Amino acid sequence: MIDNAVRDVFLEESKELLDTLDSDIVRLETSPDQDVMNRVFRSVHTLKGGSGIAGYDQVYEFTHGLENLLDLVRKGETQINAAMITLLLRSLDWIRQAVAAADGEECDIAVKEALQRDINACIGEVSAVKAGGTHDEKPRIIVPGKTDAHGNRYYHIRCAFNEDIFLRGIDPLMIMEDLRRLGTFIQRKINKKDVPNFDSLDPEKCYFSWEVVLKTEHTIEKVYEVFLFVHDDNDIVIRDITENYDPDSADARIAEKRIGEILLGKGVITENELNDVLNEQDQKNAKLGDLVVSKGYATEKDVEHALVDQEKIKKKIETGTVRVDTAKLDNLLNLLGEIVIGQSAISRLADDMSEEQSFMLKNALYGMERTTREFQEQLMSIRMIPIGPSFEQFRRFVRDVSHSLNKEIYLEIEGQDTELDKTVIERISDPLKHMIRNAIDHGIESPETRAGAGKPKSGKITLRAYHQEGNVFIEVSDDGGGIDRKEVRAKAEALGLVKHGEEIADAKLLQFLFLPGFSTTSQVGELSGRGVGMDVVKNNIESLRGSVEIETREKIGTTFRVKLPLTLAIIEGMLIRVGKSIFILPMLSIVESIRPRKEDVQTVEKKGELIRVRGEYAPLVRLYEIFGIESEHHNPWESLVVIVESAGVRLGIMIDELVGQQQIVIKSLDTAITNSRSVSGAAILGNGQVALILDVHGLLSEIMS
Amino acid sequence: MRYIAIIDDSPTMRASVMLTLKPFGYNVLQAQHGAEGLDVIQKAIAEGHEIALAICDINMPVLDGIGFINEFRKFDKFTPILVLTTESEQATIQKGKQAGASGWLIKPFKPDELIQSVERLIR
Amino acid sequence: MKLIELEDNTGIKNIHCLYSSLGEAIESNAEIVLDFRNVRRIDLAVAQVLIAAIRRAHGAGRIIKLQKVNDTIREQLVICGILK
Ligand SMILES: [Mg+2]
Repeated sequence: MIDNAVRDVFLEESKELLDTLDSDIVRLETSPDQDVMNRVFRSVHTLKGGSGIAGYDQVYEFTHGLENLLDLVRKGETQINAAMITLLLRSLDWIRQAVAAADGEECDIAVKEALQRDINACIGEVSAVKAGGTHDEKPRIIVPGKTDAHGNRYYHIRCAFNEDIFLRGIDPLMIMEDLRRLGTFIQRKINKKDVPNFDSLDPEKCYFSWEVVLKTEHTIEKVYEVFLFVHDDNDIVIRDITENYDPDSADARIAEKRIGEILLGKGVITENELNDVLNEQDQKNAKLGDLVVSKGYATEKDVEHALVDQEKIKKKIETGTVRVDTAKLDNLLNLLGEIVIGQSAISRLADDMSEEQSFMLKNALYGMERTTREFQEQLMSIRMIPIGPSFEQFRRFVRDVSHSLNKEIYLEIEGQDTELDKTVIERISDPLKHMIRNAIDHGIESPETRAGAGKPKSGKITLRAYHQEGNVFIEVSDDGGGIDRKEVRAKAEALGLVKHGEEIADAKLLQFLFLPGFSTTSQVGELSGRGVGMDVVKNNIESLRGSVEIETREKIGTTFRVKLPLTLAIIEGMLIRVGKSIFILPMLSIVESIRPRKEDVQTVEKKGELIRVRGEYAPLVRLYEIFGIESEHHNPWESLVVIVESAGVRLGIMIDELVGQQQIVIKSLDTAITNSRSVSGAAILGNGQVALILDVHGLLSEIMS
Repeated sequence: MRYIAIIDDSPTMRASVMLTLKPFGYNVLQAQHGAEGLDVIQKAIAEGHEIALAICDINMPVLDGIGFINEFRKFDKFTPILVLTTESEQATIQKGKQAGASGWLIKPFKPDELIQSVERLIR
Repeated sequence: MKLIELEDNTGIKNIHCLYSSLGEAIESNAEIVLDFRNVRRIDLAVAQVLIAAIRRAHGAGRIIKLQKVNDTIREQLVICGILK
C-alpha cells in the first residue's frame, strides 16, 4: 500500500531530521546562528509536512505548534533561552517516541499535552490548545444557494483571462471544460472578436473571454473551485442568478440569442443562409442584420423585429436587478397620479389667464405631460411580467385532468413572452384554469369519438397570449367538437332567455353560457357541466375590466377569447358630466355619442327604456337616477347619449356633456367606494373633485337584472 | 517521455507524490531542492524528454521554491508548476504566482487532492 | 489542397510551428485540410490560432477544413465557438 510505503520513508526521514534537530538545537544554546535557526525551522516544518502526509496526526498537530514557536524565534520576536532549549529537546524526544510507536496512537498523550501547554505559554497563546483537533477538519459554514424546483442552480459567469496567463502554465480551455462538466451552458457568449487578425496575432497571448450561464446542481463553492488557481488575479465574476430563472418558463431556453438565431427561429432565414452570412461576417466584421438584408434573405423590417425581440430577450437575462416590493410601485404610481392631478389643476388656472400667458403656460405643461406620461409608462413596465410561467403551470394540470377522464390531451403554449401586469397575471390564473378544465371536460371529445370523426386520437388545447391595440388577449382553444348552438338555443328558450323563433346574434347566444346555472350537457360530467363555473369566470374577468367571448365551429373546436387591459392602474378615460357630477367612462368601451331623436326612444315592457341606434335597440341608462343626483336634462332627445359596448352588448348612457379625454390613474381599485357594480373605481380630478369610474359591464348587468 | 518532476527536500513528500502519481500513469522525476530540480529537468530535456509539470516545495535548502520557479521560467515559459505549500505560507503563494507558478496545494494533502490538482493543470 | 497533419503535442509550447505553417499555407493554397488524427486534445492557444486562421482564410476566399477530430477536441472547439 502507498500508505505503508510512505510511512516507511517517513520513519527514515524523521530519524534523520530529529538527529539533525538535536544537534542544531544544542548548537543554538551556545551560539545563536541565523542559518542554524533557519535550518531548525525548516526541519520542523518538514517534519510537520511528512507526518501529515504519512498519517501521524498527533505528530502533525504537535509539530504545528512547535513550528509556530520556532517561527517567532526565527523572526526574532522571541528570544531563545535555556528553558526553551530544554522544552525543544523534550519535544523532540516526544516526537521520536510518537513516531516509533506502532501506529502513532500509543504515544503518551499526557506528556504531549504538557509540552503543548509549555510551548503555547512561550508563544503567549494559551488559548490556542486544541484538544485532539486534527488538521483536515476546518469548520466552515456553507450556506448553499437556493435551487429551483428541479434542484438546479443558475450562475452567470464571466471569465476574462489575463493576456499572459499561458506564461503561468495555465490553459483556460481546461478550466472551461471543467466548468462545462459541472452542468450545461444554457447561454454562452464567446468574445472571439478579441482575437486579433491572423497577422497581428501573438499566439503566445490569451485573447479569449467567455460569458456563460451555467445550469448546474452544484453549489457556488463548487463553481469557484473550478477557478481555484485563477480567480483572484483574473477577471472572474460568478453570480448566482437562480432567482432570475424559472426552468418552467421559456426564459431558460431563450439564451442570449443573436439576431441570426432569432431570424432562424422565426423561419425568416434558413440555416444555410445563416451560415453563409456568419462566414461573411467573420471576414467583414459587418453587422449581421445588414448582411442579411443586403443578401436579400430578409427585409429590413424582419431585422427590426428581430432586434426588438433581442432587446426583450436581453432584458430578461439582464441580471443586474433589484427586487422591489410591488406596494412601493403602487405607491409611486399613486404619487404620479397626484402629479397628474396637479398638472391639470395648473392647466385649469391657465384658462383664466390672458391668451398669451395661457398659451405659454399650456405649452410648457404640454411638454411636462409628455414626460409624465413616459414616466408612467416606464413605471407600468416595471409591473409587467411575461405570462409564460403562468401558462406553463397548466401543463401538469392538463395532463392530470385529461388522464382522469381517459383523454389524451396535449397543451400547446403560444406567446409566452407576452407581458402584462403582475396583478392581472395573478388574477387571471383561476379563470384560465376553469376554461381549460371546461375544454378538457366538454370541449375535447373522447378518443373514440375523435377517431370516428377522423381526427387524431389526442386532442390539443392551445393557450395563446398576444397584444393587440393596447389590450392583452388570452385565448383558450380546443380542437374538439365545438359547441352545439341548437342545444344552447334550446336551453336558452327553456329558461325564457329567448323566444321561440326569435332571431339572436351568435355572439349573444353564446354569451348565455356565462349565465349562472346555464349548462348544455345533458348528462352532468364528472367535473362540471358546461356553464357551471363559467359565470364565475366571467365575473372574475370583468373585475379585471376585461371581457370574454366565445368562438366555436362545429367539429373544429372552440376558442374562449379573453380581452384584458394591459394594466389595472391606468385607464384612458372620457370624462362625462351629469349635473354637477363628473364620471369617467373607459375609452375602450365607448362606441360613439349621439343626439337621439324623440322617435328613437321607446319604452318596452319588461325591458325598460330602449334607444334605437343604427337600427338596433340598446337599453338606455339614466345615471342621475342610478346615483340619485341632479341632471340638466331629463329627456334623452334633449341630452347627449354615449353608446358604450361590452362583450357585444350595447348600452346608451344619458349625459349632459362630454368633458374630455384623459389618462386616469385609478385610485384604490380594491377599496370599494360604493358597493355598486356600476362603479369600478375612482379618480381624483385636477380640481380635487372625485370622479367615479363607470364599469360598463356592471351597468349592463345591473340593468339586465 | 513525459515526466512530472517533484522537487521537495522531504523524502516522505517525494515518496508520497511519486507513489500517488505512478498508478495514474505518470512518470516521475525527483529532486531534493531547487538546484537539483533544475539539473534533473535540464538533463531530461537534453535527453529528449518532456517535462509536463513541475511540483515543487517552497521551503527547501540550497535553492528554495521561489528561486526554482524563477530559474525554471528562464528556459521554460509554459510548463505548469504546482507549488506545495502549507497554511502558514499563504504569502508565498502570491510570490510563487508572480514568479510564474500555476497553482498550489496545501500540505498535508490526500492522494486524491494531489491528483485533482495535477489534473487541473495537465491532461 | 494543402494537408497539415498536426503533431500529437500541438499546444502552447510549440504554437509558433502551427502558426507559421498555417500562415504559409493560407498564402498559397485554396483549400487547407488540418488533420487531427494524432492529436488527443488542444489548448486555448491552438484554438486562437485556428480562429484567426479560419477568419483570414475566409477573407481570402479560401477554406480550412478540420478532419479526424476526436470527441474531446470536438467539445473543445464547441466551447471556443469554432464548431457549433
Ligand atoms: Mg520543504
